[in-house]
Amino acid sequence: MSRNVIIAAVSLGALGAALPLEAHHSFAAQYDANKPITLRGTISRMLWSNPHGHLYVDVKTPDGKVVTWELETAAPAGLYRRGWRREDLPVGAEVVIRGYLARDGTATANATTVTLVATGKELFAGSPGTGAPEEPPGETGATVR
Amino acid sequence: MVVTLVAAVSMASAAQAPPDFSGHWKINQAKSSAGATGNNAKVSFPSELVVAQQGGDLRVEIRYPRTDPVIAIYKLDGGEVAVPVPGVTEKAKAAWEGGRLVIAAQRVVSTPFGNFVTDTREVWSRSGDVLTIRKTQSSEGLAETETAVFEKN
Repeated sequence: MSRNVIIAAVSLGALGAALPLEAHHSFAAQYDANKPITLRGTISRMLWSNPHGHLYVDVKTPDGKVVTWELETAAPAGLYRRGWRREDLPVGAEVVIRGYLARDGTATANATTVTLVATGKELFAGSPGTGAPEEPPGETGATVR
Repeated sequence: MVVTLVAAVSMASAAQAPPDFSGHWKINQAKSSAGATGNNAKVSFPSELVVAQQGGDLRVEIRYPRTDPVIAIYKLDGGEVAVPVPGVTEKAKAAWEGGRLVIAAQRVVSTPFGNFVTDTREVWSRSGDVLTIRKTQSSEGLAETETAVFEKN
C-alpha cells in the first residue's frame, strides 16, 4: 500500500469521526413515553433527512417568547408513504403537533401526528409513540421503548 | 308475593352491581381500533393491565413494553388520586356510570418552555373475558378517541 493511500485512508477516518452523523436510535433512548406534549405553532423549516426527518416549528411560550421546537419524524420515504408532500408544509403554516418530549431537556420531541390548522389535514409522522403491543421493526426509524 | 318481590329486588340489585375488572388483561391488537396500536397510534394504550378491584379501590398495574410499570390506585367513589407516573404530575378520578367505569385524568408535563396538559377520559366496560377501554385524549383543542380491546390472560 502506497504512502498516499495510507494518508488518504487515515484522513477519511479522521473526517468520519469528526462528522456529526445522526444515529439510528431507539425511541426510549431519546424520548420519554410518559411525557406526551401537544404543540401549536408555525412551521419554520422541514428537513427531509435520513434516517429521520425533522420539522422545526416556532411556538410561543406563555410569557410571549418564541421557541423553535425540533420534531423528529420517520424517514422521508416513510413520510411519503403516509401522504406527506413538500407542499403540505409551507413555512409559516400553523400546525398542531402531538408527540413525546426528549429526555435531554431541550425543545425537542418525537412527533406522532401533525395537523394542519388551515385544512384540518392530519399527517402521521411515522413515529412509534407508545403504541402497544411492540411495534414491528422497519419503517418507523425508531423502536418503541 | 313476598318471595316474588324479594326475587325481583335481588335480580335488580344484581343487574345494577358494577362489574369486577380484576384480572390480568392483554391487549388484542387485531380487535382494537386502528389508531390504538402500532406505528400510527393516535392514542396510547398499555400492552397489559393487572387489575385488582377490592372494596372501594381499583389497583391497576399499567404495563407498556420495555418500561417500568406504573401502579395506579383509584378510588371508586370519585375521589381524586395522584398517579405516580415518573417525571410528570397526574391526577385522576374514577367513578361508576351505570355498568361502566369512567377514569378521568389530567397529566401535566413541565418544561422550561411551559407546561403541557393532556386530558384523558377512559370508559371501561367488561363482557365476560373481554375488557374494552374507550379512551379520549385531548390537548390544545384537539381530541382523539380510540378503543382498545383486552382479553383475559
